[in-house]
Order: sequence, then C-alpha cells, then structure tokens
Amino acid sequence: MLNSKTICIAFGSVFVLVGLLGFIPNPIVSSEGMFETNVLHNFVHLLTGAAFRFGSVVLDGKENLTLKAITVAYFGVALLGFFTEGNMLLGMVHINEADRWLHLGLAMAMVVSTIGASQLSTQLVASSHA
Amino acid sequence: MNTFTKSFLTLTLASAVLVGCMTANGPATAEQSMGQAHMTKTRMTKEEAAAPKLNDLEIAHIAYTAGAIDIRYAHLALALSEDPEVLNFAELMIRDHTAVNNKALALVQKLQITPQDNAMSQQLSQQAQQIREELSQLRGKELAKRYAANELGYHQTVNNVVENTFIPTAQNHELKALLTAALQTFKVHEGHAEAMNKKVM
Repeated sequence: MLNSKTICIAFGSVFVLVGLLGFIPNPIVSSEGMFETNVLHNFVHLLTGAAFRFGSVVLDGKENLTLKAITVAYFGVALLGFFTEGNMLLGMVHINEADRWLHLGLAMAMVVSTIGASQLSTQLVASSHA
Repeated sequence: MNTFTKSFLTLTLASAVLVGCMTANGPATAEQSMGQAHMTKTRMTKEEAAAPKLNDLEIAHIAYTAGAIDIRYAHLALALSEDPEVLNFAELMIRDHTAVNNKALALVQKLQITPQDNAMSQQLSQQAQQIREELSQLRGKELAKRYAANELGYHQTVNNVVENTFIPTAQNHELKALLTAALQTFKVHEGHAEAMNKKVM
C-alpha cells in the first residue's frame, strides 16, 4: 500500500543505490556520467537515502514528518543549484546542468508524494472516525 | 478520481516535464557524444586540420564539438581534482565555452541551418574519449599535471586551427565574426593554461 512509509523506503532505496552507483564508472551517474558527481555528491546521495531509511524504519510512526523534512531540505538544495554560480554546490559538491534539473524533478516528485501521503492519512483518519 | 490517482498523474506530469527539460537540453546530450573530442584537438596534426576543405556547416560542427568536449573535460576535472588551480581553470572553461557554444547555437537558429557532422568532429570525439578515460584513472598531482598539459596543448592546437583554417575558410560573415571573437577568448585560455602548468608542476 502506498503510504509515507513505503514512499520513504522507495526514495531511500533509490538514493542509496544511486549513491553506490556513483562510485562505479558508468555513463549515467558518476564523474563521467550524464549526471556528473564527485565523491561528496555520492556521499550526499547515500546520506539522503540513509535519512529516508532511518525515518521509515527507526522513527516508526514519524514517516510523514521524515518525508516532509527531507522534501523541504531537498527542495532547498535543488533551488540552491540554480542560484549557485559555477558548478560546485557550496564549493564542495560537483553538479552539472543535468544534475540541476534532475534535483528539481526529484524535489517535485517528493512534494507530490508528500502531499499524496498526507491526504491519504487524512482520509484514513476520517474514514476511521466515520 | 481519488487523491492517489491525482498524485500519480501529477507525478507523471512532473516526470514528463523533467524529461522534456533534459531533452530540450539537447546540447548537453550532444556534448556527451561530441564532448569527448576536446583533448583530441591536441593530437590533431596540421595536415589533418588543413587537408579537408571544410564548409561553414562543418566548421560550425567542429567548433561546437571542440567547445563541448572542453566542457566535459572541465566537469571531469571538477569531479576528480582537488587542486585549486585546476578547479578554477575548469570553472572558467565551463563558463566561457558554454557562453561561446550558446552563441553558436543562437547563430545556428538564426540562420536556420544544421551543423554538419564530419570526419574531423568524429575523430575529435573518439580521441577525446580515450583521453577522458585516461584522465579518469588519475588522481591528485598526476591528474592536475595531465589535465593542465592537455589543456595547454589543446588550446594551442585549437587556436592555430581556428586562426589559420576556420576563420580564413568560413564564408558566412557572422560565423567568421563569432570565430574571431571566440579566438580572443581561447587565446586568454591558452595564457591561463600556461600559468596553470607552471603552478601544478
């Protein structure tokens, strides 16, 4: 069933996998990939994935809060990419143009997921009271 | 339509927008195939540069390819190097070559022409791919030295080809003007590359 927990697990798994993938030469996500990353960028992916997984597994019952918090942070990072002069986010994390758009797209997906999960939980609460 | 259906549709729409953005960013994709040619110019001989009689469409394609390749090399350097000289130079390359290529794209759109792929562009791409693979294996000082040496050789060769082959050969006056203006920028790059080489030694 699609809820905050499963969304957190899904995002967490994807971020961890992408983070690991970044350390392996490949044409998609790596120092030579379409979405260019450096070591710190890969660690950010791993940390983001870990945060999702932590929120979904360890913080049982607070998945919605986890989803919202990471979404807000991620959206901020995505926007920061467009306001960053040059290609080093905060002077440390290497990004390129494709990364910027991907981050924005992911941020949008997170927002949609957060809204959907919130509305679902509201409906569930309402139906349980009915 | 329930909330999840709406959410799913919105997510799909967002993905479509994202894909659209990536597709619209065509030059970036093109950069990847062309982008490997950057260092290639370093290996281009004068004979190779002068041998074929190039038309404007081919010149435009080669010039764009060369710029795109330099951008790709710069991104690789940003991802792998920690040397401040290399990082600063790479940022400069991305900024300036992106600007020149954007002007080239604007000219292409204005003239409603399509740059023509050719043997030189393809050779640039193939050779650059090899050098990218070589660079990606290096780290630290070795990477900085190799990148710096390659950038210097590349700019020396490109500047020579642009000045002595492309500009005299180009027929369209706007293309000629663009190449002439770009050459000034590239000559400044050559000077920076020389300075970078001295600093990373």
